[in-house]
Amino acid sequence: MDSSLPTKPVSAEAIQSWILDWLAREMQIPAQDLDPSKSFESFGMSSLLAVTMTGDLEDWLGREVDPAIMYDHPTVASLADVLAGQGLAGQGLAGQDLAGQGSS
Amino acid sequence: MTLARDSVSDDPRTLVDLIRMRARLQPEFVGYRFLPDGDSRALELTYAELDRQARAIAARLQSRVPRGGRALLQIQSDLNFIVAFAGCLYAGVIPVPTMVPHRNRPIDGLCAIAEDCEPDIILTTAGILASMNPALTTAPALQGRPWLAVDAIATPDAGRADSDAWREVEIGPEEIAFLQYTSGSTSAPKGVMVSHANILHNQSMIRDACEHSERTVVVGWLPFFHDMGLIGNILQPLYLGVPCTLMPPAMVLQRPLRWLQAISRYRATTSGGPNFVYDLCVTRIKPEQAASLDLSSWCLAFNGSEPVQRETLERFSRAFAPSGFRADAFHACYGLAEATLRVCDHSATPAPILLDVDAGALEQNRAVSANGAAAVRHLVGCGSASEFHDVQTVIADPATRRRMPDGDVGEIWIKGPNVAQGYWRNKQATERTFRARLESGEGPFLRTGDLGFVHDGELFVSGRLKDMVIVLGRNIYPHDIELVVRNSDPAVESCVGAAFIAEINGKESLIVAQEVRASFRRTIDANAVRRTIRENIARHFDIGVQDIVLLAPGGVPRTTSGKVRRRACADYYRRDDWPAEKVDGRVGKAGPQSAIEATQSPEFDGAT
Repeated sequence: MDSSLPTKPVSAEAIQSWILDWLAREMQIPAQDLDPSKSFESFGMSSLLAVTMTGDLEDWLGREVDPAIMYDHPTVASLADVLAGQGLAGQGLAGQDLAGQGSS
Repeated sequence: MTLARDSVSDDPRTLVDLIRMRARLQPEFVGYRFLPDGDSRALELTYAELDRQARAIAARLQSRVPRGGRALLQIQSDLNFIVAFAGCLYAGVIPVPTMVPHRNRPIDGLCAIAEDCEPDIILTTAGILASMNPALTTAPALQGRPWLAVDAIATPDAGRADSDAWREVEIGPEEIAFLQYTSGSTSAPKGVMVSHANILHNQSMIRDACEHSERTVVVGWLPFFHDMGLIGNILQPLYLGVPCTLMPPAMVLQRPLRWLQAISRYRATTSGGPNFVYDLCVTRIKPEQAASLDLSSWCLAFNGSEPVQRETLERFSRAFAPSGFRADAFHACYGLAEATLRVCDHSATPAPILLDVDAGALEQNRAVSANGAAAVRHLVGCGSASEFHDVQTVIADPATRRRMPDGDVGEIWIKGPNVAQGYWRNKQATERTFRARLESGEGPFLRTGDLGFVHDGELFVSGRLKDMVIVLGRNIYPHDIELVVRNSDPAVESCVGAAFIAEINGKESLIVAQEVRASFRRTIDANAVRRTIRENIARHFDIGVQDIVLLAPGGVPRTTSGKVRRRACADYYRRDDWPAEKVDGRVGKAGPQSAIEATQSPEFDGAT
């Protein structure tokens, strides 16, 4: 990842709106059809696309994001909440998640 | 390039011989380097250590599992997988690689495999045991079967006692080395029985077709339970005795730059994956990131396990030329688990062979030049069709079983020492697939189910005989998808539907055409039905569907005997002209208003 990006605390609202924009763009779904309380699966999102989104989230947030995070936080709202919480807690939590995924 | 025949001079007869030989000849050589984060942190495994850990695991297995028993591998794609796989072989136990489902994901695919192969033990890791879906231990197929964490046995500091307890077993080259489950129908998975002889023969084919040598350097990221990951990325470097750097698939899919950085950093010569990963690199890696890469060492970029797209090759070559990537490094190849992996020799030219054919004629099973044709299909050759290492590739008419002349499209049939032993405990399917004979009596041949033709000595794959849907390197049966679709909503229940692949902007995309019950035509909320179908397809198959077309009864093309014509569907879809009225416009483009208009149109009633 681009280490020059600062780790910034971002609000859950800002993260949610970033995710909704991303989904609308990548999946060509009108933004108004996306309900943040519904699961990513309900939009027909494959896990490949989900993993891809975590990569873009890493770029935007400037920190590591577990590629499997959406299995544990399957709605836009819950993902935004947990990412905002991790941002406040610093990089430790995200880093741990990632290590757990990579080297079992 | 010099071929590395000398490096396997004492001709191992089994994979165990091969690993033992590497441990003897190159004990301190780091055969495997694993990058857990896809970045610079690396874990290493020497051949001596691989041998020692394999013996420790084998000793444990020998005390609990009978010879020829099965060990289900529930291990992520990491070094634990490699030592566990080797440990099974050392014990004369058959490893069965499987995908590790995330704890919140469905387990039915894994359970179906367990039901079929009846494992005596499940090998896993402490990390997976701690975080797995608890439903796995109580599922009928797995209940009562022991789980064993291999990382607890095969630790680097574990005493010698464990590994010394291993008793060497006599293994014949014709014995089953492992079961490769095909990623097909979830309802009836089939385990391909791959023998030691099959693997070693295929390894020599891969070495020679790829012109590998003792100077080859491999970087891999494919899942280890996948045939291309296991046979290509893990076993080929071992066969050659050359360095191999591996990384978790999720790390590459999350950030494809990591893959190319590893190639750049470790000066890889051989690396690859299915077509989609090259597209992913083009769309996800920025030009300034590409500029920081040095891909000049990369001389074999293999592309296999899903249809190779010419546009992908062109886009990738353009995007990464500034990084030193050479277009002639692309290596389109053809393979399948039933043939261990690889089928053909390399093409006659260093660069991929491109061919434009008339799309209309191709539907009529003839490959003719696209000159002046209304619709053109761009095909990429996937290797020479000539006999290669005693492997014969023929094109046969699937109905008459006659051999077909060059330029005619038929089913690809294969005969040779790389063809596996059949499907595990499935005589009927084995007979059908592995024991086919030409009308002349020649055989037995493996029926690949792939359609193709030979042109100027080159093999071209043009489709699937059984309309198999191939997405992201996985084969999915359309009737499995269709079943999920028609169970999605009462409005489509028991109605005819078709899942098929159509090429959209140079990309193979999954499309669903589904008829709607006439009685629902005034009440249906088409957008809601499509949302549910999308969700169900994603949940069951983990793939996205590009478009869902809802049609009036009679809208899905069928043969006179009522069979769905899936291949014709792509044509209807392209023309946007179906045998019956669409109930609604396309997803995301048509609002509910137009859905109502469509259902109320007079043509709708006329079509029923």
